[in-house]
Amino acid sequence: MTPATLCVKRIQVSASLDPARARDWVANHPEVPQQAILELVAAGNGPRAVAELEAKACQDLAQGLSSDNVVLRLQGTLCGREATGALRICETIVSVHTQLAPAPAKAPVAPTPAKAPLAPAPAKAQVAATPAKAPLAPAPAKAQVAATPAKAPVAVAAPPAPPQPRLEAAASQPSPAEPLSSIQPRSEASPAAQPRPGKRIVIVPVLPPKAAVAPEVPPPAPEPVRRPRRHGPVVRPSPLLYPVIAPRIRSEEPPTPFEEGLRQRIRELIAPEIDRVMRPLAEAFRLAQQKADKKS
Amino acid sequence: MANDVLPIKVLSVHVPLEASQLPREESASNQPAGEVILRIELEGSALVLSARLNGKKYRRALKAFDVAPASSRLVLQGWLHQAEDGSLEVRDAGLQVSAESDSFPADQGSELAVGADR
Repeated sequence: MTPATLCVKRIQVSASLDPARARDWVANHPEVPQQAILELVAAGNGPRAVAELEAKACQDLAQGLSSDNVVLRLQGTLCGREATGALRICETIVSVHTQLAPAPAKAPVAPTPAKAPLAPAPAKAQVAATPAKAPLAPAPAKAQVAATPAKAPVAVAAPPAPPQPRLEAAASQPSPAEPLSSIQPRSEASPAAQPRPGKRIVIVPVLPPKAAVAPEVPPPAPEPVRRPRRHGPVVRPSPLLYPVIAPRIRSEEPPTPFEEGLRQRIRELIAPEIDRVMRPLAEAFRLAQQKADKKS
Repeated sequence: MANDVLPIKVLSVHVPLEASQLPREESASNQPAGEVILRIELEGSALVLSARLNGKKYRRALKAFDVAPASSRLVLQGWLHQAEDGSLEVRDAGLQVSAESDSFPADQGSELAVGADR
């Protein structure tokens, strides 16, 4: 970028003077000079400048340093360069600015007194023992349920002991030719049936009454019929046929010839399989039924 | 007369500028702001200063000046440094717009109100 060139009539400069060094300068000049030349050397890479102080500037400088907390400021106008390369400052004036009083040094902080040891915490008041709960009044005894009267032992009619066959029984067995109906027990025999001398006596053991017979144990469930294992491929109708057949089956319309033929074909395919599966089942069911009949 | 050497921290510079001399094309808003480099020559001497200004701030200062050009003035401020080749440059340069009534140290002979050492 091409710099823009400006011609100016004046270039003003200013600098702050170190009060300590300025005091040294004043000390070296017991009498305020009428004219002085100060060489200002900026720190670092700053330029060197030579300032010409007139009598008034020298007086201001000497008077300004009489008080503390002041800032000396040197202001002037650049007038060119010296032969040595230093800048020349003309029309120099010295201004004195009172600096704000520095903050008073902080008083040393007194060491904080050691904290008194903490008093031991007062012992906690012992919690008064909660009064023992009054014993609960005994619950009123429940009215004793009147003992159910012992059930009277059910008189079980013991089956009468099988009557011992009499000795005569062995000797006199009923003849098979004689009907049983004609045989009567001795106790129930009518006086007419009293044995008559010379007549053969037939004694038949008394059978227990039917009621005394122990109830019959239900017959065990028939053993599950084991399904015979299949052999060979199982022919089944293709599931693809279901959508075709199902609507017609559900509907009441008579099947079309095509559907009838299809059903017939399916029956032909399924029937042998059904027969093969159902025959053993039917046989097993029949046998189970026979067993149940025999037991009953 | 012997020279007494006084060390200073830095030399600050204040240069009153004529607004008519400032380049205006740099402030065109249709270009990137970039940087503005000014070469300042002191009349009647071979003293030359160079200053680099932030383009955005330069535009802003000119706009502020154009609001009331009759009662405003432009001042270039910065720190004076010497380059290795001996040329002088103003670092941290900035363009300040102030009212005409503001006192100016050299003109009025009063205390400097601006440009304190940083």
